[in-house]
Amino acid sequence: MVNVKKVLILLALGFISSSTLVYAKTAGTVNGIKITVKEANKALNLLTKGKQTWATLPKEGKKQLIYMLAPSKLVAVTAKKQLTKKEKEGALASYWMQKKMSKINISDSEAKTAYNKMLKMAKKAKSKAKIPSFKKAKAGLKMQLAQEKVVSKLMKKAKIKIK
Amino acid sequence: MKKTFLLTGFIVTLTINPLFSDVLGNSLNNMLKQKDSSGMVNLSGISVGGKKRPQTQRIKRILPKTRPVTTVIGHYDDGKPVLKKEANAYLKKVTKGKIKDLDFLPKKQRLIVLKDLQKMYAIKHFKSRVSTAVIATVNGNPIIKRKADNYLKSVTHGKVKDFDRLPNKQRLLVVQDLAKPMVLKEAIENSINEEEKEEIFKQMWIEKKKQTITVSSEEMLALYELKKQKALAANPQAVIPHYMSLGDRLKNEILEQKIMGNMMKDVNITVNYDLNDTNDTIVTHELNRSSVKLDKMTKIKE
Repeated sequence: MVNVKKVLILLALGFISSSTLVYAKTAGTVNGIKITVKEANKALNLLTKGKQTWATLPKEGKKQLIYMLAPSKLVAVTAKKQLTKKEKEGALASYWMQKKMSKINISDSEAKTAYNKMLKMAKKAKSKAKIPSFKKAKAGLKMQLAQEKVVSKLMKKAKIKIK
Repeated sequence: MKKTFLLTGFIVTLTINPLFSDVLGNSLNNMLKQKDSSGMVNLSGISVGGKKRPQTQRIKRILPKTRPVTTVIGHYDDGKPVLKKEANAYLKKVTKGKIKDLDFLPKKQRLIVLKDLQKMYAIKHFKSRVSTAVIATVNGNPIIKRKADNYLKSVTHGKVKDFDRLPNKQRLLVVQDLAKPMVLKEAIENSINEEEKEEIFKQMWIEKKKQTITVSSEEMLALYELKKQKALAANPQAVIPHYMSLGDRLKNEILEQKIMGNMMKDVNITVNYDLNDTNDTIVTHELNRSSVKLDKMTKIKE
């Protein structure tokens, strides 16, 4: 049993190291930051529509490609280093929210109902703030409603236990 | 002798008169008390002025049986008994001494008194959990009390600072509010891959950098003229859009050029030409052997 276990571990280790070998192939570096062959091939695939790969690319082409990929790589590393955790979370959240919201449709009547509700609440609160017309507020309201829908959908699925 | 008779007569008169008046008074009283059986109309209830005399009813007061003061009338949350004497003392205080016995109250009011005592006890003997205690879990992720307390403090402008003092309904609302960002974060982590993340961070960093850089109208105009010349050189009949319509695009291009220009200053680039050897990327000296060090870059290679 012990031997089988040992063999399994060794096999797993062998698999991991061989898989890292494939992905760790370096096409070049920028200030010591690696640009992998995978990344180079991905860019080439887009640029040459799949006609060229890193392996088939001539020397000058390789040099040009690494030059081209270098700024993006540097920006990626710098961004990761310089952005705060809060900024990163905020950026991811707004991207994700926009993506989700684009799939949700809010009708004009829904927006109108929400607008009327808002008006009522403002009246009740005796608010002195100037409320924009429905036409002006419509786009913003639709966005807000879409956002609420996305969040409420998520919250419905969430398992909350109070202790 | 005559004098003696007169004096005796006077004394007799004085003593007999009151005796008769007592008898009269008694008989009149009896008449009033007795029910009229003569069939005549009873006018005793009618006042002379025409106003009806208020009828006085005699209320028979039956005092309820009171239980001893050591009677247990209920229990506090921790199981401790609520004694009647505690309720009596509370009642006395609340009614300013008008009611001193709980048993004089109807059942509904007795229950109210008991609830009041239980509430007061709960407030007096309240023990809040430690700030690191887990007050809820959201998809298995814990929310600690400190987080809820801080949230409450900010929402109520410092009026409520302790989550444990909230009733259950309000606790749920607070937890739901705190759960939203957690649920969102989880959903984001599960749906955005590393490549997407890298791209998002890059865009954000560039946008942030753009805020710190200024672009003059001269720079924009120079770029416009350059582009115009290039376009006309390629096609002399090309329709060139007006400078004003390209304003933002030109500005962005210059900004990105400036950012990238700064990024690529003193950059060290190496290109690995030979990849036929499978070990080349792991062994550093092999990589160095097959790689070519480029000169330091000062300009972006377009």
